[in-house]
This record gives sequence, C-alpha cells and structure tokens, in this order.
Amino acid sequence: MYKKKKYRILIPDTTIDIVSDVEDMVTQLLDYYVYIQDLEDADLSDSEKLNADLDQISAEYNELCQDYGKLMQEYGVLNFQGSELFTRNTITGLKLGLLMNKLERAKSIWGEQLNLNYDSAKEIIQHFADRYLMKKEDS
Amino acid sequence: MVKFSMTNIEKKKYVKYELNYKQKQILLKLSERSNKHPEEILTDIESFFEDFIGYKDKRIWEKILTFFNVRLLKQKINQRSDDIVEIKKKTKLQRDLLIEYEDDYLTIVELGQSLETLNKVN
Repeated sequence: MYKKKKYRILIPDTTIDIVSDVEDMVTQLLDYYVYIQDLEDADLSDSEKLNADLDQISAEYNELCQDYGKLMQEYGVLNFQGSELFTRNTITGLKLGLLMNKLERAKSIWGEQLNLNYDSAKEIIQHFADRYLMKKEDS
Repeated sequence: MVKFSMTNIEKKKYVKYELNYKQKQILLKLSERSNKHPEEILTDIESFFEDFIGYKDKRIWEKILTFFNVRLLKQKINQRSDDIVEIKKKTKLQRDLLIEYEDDYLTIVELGQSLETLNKVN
C-alpha cells in the first residue's frame, strides 16, 4: 500500500542554505534515524572534540575487528580440524554395523561363555554408530 | 528525481522535498523495523529540522554527521564485542569437540580390534 505513495517532507529554507547537498542530508537522516533522538543531549559546540571522539572510537572499532578476525581464523582452523577428525571417525567406524551383527551372533552361540557384557557393548557401538554413521557433523 | 517546490507556512519558508526511490526504500524498511508509520518517521525528521533552525553554525551539519558516526560506531563496537564473546564460546566448544573426537577415535579403534577378535572366535 505504501509502495506507490509519494513521501514528502518540509525542510526550512534556512537549513537548505546551510547544507550543500539536501538529497544526501535526507538520506543520511533516514540512515541515522535511530540516533536523531540522541542529539538532544549532544554537545555539538566543540568540533575538535567531536573529531577526536570519532578518531578514538574508530581506532577502538578497528582494533576489535582485527581481534575478531583473528578469533574467526582460529575458529575456522579448529572447525576444519574437527571436520577432518569427524570424517576419520566415520571412516574408522564403518565396520561398527558388522561388529553389532557379530556381537549378536556371538551372544546367540556362546552366550555367557565369552564373558562379555553384550548389552553394554551394543550400547557403546550404537552410540558411535549414531554419532558418526547416522548423524551429521556436530559443529 | 528530486523535486522541490516553495511553500510558506506560518511565516517560515519551507522547501517541499519528495523522497527519491532509494530513500523511500530506506523509509519503508525503517518503518517495518521500528513498527512506526512512515509518516511518523518523516514527522520526526521534520521535528529535527525545527531544532536545526536554531543553529547558525555553518558547520553544524558536519558536526551532526560526526556525532552520528560516533553513535553508529559505538553500536558496532557493542555488536562486535558480542560477536567476540560468541566466537570465543564456539571456539571453546570446538576445542572440546576435538578432544571428544580424539577419544572417540581411540574407542572406535578398540571396537574394531574387538571385531577382529570375534572374527577369530567365529
């Protein structure tokens, strides 16, 4: 409904006199709309202080971005290693199904003679089969 | 296209400015995000101009933009700090996961050896 509508604002001509590019000013005001309210408490008298604040906060932000970049890189490496280990475990665990069958068979043939806790063994096998053969990677 | 036309309201002179396509898009997105009617947002901006009239400083717009930039960067710093906390958590989890995968590997190898033993028994 709003898409076809035309939107207009009234700008005092004294403002137009101060600002060289009105179109750009309106765009900036829309972009920074959420901060307009904050202007009420802002001290705009000292230009140098404002610029110094901006320089300081820019430096702080750049430093944080660099830290974040390094952390992301570290995470990326660990994630890659995790993926490799997961694949290795999947490949190594491919015979788990076979082991389960063997265990069932052994239980039916020898039962207690093998001194094996079949249920516990089956539980362990199932756990690894679920984790590496059935499910997707954890991370 | 930018359209201007002069009008006179309560002795003050105003320029009627029509938002261009890109500005309209920003306005509508803003309206969606803030759950405010677009006209309400425009009224807020017009109120800003009313305050703006009081400034005689030629560099006021430059100062306001600097102030906005500082505000934006402060918000970005908060967001980035949250991102850092989050990535540190994920990294710790990933490290723990690597240890688990290594432990699991040893157990799976042992299970494979059990299979060999069972094969011999069988």
